Amino acid sequence: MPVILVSSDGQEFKVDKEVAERSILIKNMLEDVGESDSPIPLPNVTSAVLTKVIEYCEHHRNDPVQVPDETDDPRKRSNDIEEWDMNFMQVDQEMLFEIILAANYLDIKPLLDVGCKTVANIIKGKTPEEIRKAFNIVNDFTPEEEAQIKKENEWAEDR
Amino acid sequence: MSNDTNSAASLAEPDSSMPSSSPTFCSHLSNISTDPIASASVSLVNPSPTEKRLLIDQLYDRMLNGPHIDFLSKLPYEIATYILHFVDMHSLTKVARISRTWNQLSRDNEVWKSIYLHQKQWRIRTPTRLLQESPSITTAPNADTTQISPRSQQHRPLNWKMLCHDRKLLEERWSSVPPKNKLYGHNDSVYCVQFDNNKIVTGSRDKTIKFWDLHKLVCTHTLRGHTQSVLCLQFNDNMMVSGSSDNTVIVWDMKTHQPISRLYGHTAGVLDVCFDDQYIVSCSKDATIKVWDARTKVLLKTMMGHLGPVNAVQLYKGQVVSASGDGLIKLWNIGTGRCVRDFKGHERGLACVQFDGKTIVSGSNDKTIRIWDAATGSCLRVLTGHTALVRTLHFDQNKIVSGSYDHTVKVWDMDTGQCTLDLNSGHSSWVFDVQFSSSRIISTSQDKNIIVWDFSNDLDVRLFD
Repeated sequence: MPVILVSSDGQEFKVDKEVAERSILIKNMLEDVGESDSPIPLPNVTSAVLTKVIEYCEHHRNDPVQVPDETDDPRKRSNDIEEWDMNFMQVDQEMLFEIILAANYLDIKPLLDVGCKTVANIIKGKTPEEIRKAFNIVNDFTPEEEAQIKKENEWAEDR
Repeated sequence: MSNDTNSAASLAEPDSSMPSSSPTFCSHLSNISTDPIASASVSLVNPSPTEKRLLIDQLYDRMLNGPHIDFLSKLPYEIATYILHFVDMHSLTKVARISRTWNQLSRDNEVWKSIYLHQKQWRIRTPTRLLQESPSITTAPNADTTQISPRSQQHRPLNWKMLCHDRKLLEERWSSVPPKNKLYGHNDSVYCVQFDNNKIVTGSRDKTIKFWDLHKLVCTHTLRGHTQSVLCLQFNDNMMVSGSSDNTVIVWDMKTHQPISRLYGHTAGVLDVCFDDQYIVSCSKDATIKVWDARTKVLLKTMMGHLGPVNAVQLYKGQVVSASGDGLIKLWNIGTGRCVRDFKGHERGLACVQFDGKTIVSGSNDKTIRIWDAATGSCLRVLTGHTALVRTLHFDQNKIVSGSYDHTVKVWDMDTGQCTLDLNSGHSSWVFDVQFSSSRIISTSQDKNIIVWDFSNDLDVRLFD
C-alpha cells in the first residue's frame, strides 16, 4: 500500500511503503498508528527537498539495513561514497544543507552520512583560507588570536 | 540522530486541511546528474594529492560555485560535530583556525577521542587500570606535581586533543636518537629483558634474574634459582617462566618472587620460552620444542622436526612459530603437534622470530630481517641494513625494533621496510634482546649493559599503552 507524504508547502507525494520506511521516523510512525491512508504531514521538509529525499530512498529501497560498526574509522569511510550517491549529491550548498537537516529529521542514517561526508570532503585537504572561501566564512579572529591559534594547531602537520 | 517518536506519532494525526490531490512521486523525479567530468574523474586510478583535490573540487563544482552556507555554524551542534567525525586529524587542526564558531566545534572531545582510538597502535590505559597497576604514581613521595589522585582522575574526563597532541609528538621523537639511561647490576652478559609499565625484568649469564623499577631505574629484587645462564624469560601479572643453559625451565610466582616449579625434560640449554593461560612452550639447543600444561606443569608433547637448535618460539592461540639454526621457520599446531608450514628464504640460521597471528617477522645470521604472511608462507619483505647476525626483534603494527651482533639497535617502518632510526651509540658488543613500548626501547647486551632509550622526555606518557 502506498503512503502519502505531505511537504511543508502542501505538496502530496505518493510513495511505496518500503521506500517511505527508509525513514525511521516514518517507519516508527506507521508502526505506531497502524495501516492508514491518511497523508503524513512533514512540516519540516519542503517539496523540493522531499523530492530529493524520495529520489534517494527510491534508489536505495532494497539496501540491507545498515549495522553501524563502531570499530570502523569514520575518517576512512568518508572516502567510500558510491558513485550514484556522489552524483546525487551534486547539488548546491543550500540543497545539501536542507538534505542534511531533512535526513536528520526523518532519521535516514545513510543519507545523513552521505551528506555529512560530502561536507567533510570539501573541508579535507584545504587550507584555512580555502575553507573560508568554500563556505563564505568571515574570519572573526583578531590578528593576535589568529597567530595564537595557528601556533596551537601546527602540531598535526606532517613533518 | 534525533528520533522523537512522540512528536512523530502526533504528526500522523490526519489533517483535513492538507490538499488531497497532488502529483505522484514520479513526476517529481529530477534527472539524475550524469556530469561527464565527474564520471571521468571517478575512474582516475591512484590520483596524486593535487589531482585528488582537483577531482573533488570538480565533483563538488555546483556546491563550490553556487550559494555559500556556513554549514558548521548553521547546523545543530550534534550534526556539525558528526561531520567532524569524518575529518582527519590534520584537517581538524585547520578547522580550528577558520572562525570562533568553528574553533569551538573543533575542540569537541568526542571527535578527538574518535581520532585517537582509530590511530594504528594508539591504545590508551584506562585510569582505573593505571591506578591499580602503578602504585608508584599515586604514592610517589617527591612527585606532588605529577600525582594523580584517584578522585580527580575519575571525575575529570580525559582531554583527547591533548592526548592526540602528545602521542603525535611522541611518535615524531622516534626519528631521532633519544636520551638513554643504563642499568647497573648484572655482572655478566644480559641475555633477556621484558618490561611493563612499572618494572623491567632481566636475565643474565650471572645466573640471576633482576627486577628493576622502570621509573627510578634501580634494582628492586634479585632472583636466584638457575645454576647456569638465564637465557630467556616471559612474565605476566601472576607468573614468570624462565629458561636456562642448565637445561631447565623455572616457573616463578610474581607476587612472592619464589619458584613454583621446575620443568625438566630438555637435554640441552633452553633458548626461548613463552606461555599463555593454557600452555608453556619451550625450545632448546636439543632441537625440540616442548609444550607443558600451564596449570599442572605436566609435559604434554614434544614437537620434533627442526634439524638444529631451536633459537626462538612464539605462541599465539594454539599455534607456535619456531625459528632454528637449520635456517627454517616452522608453524606448528599445538593440538595435533604437527608442523603446518615451513617458511623458507633465509640463507643462514635463524636467531629470532615473532608472530601476531597474521604476520611473522624473523631475524637471521644472513643479516636480514624478513616479514612473512603466516597464512600463505610467502615472504613479503626483506629488510637489509644490519651488518651481522640479527639476534632479536620486537614488532607492532607500525614498526620493528631489532638488535644485532653488529652492536646496533635499529627501528624499521613496518609498511615501507625502511630503517627509520639507527641506535649505534649504545652498546659496545652483541645486542641480545630488545623490547619496546610507545615511549621506550630497552636493549640488553653482552657488554653487561641494559639501556633504556627514553623517548618520553617531558611528556606524560602514563596513559599511553
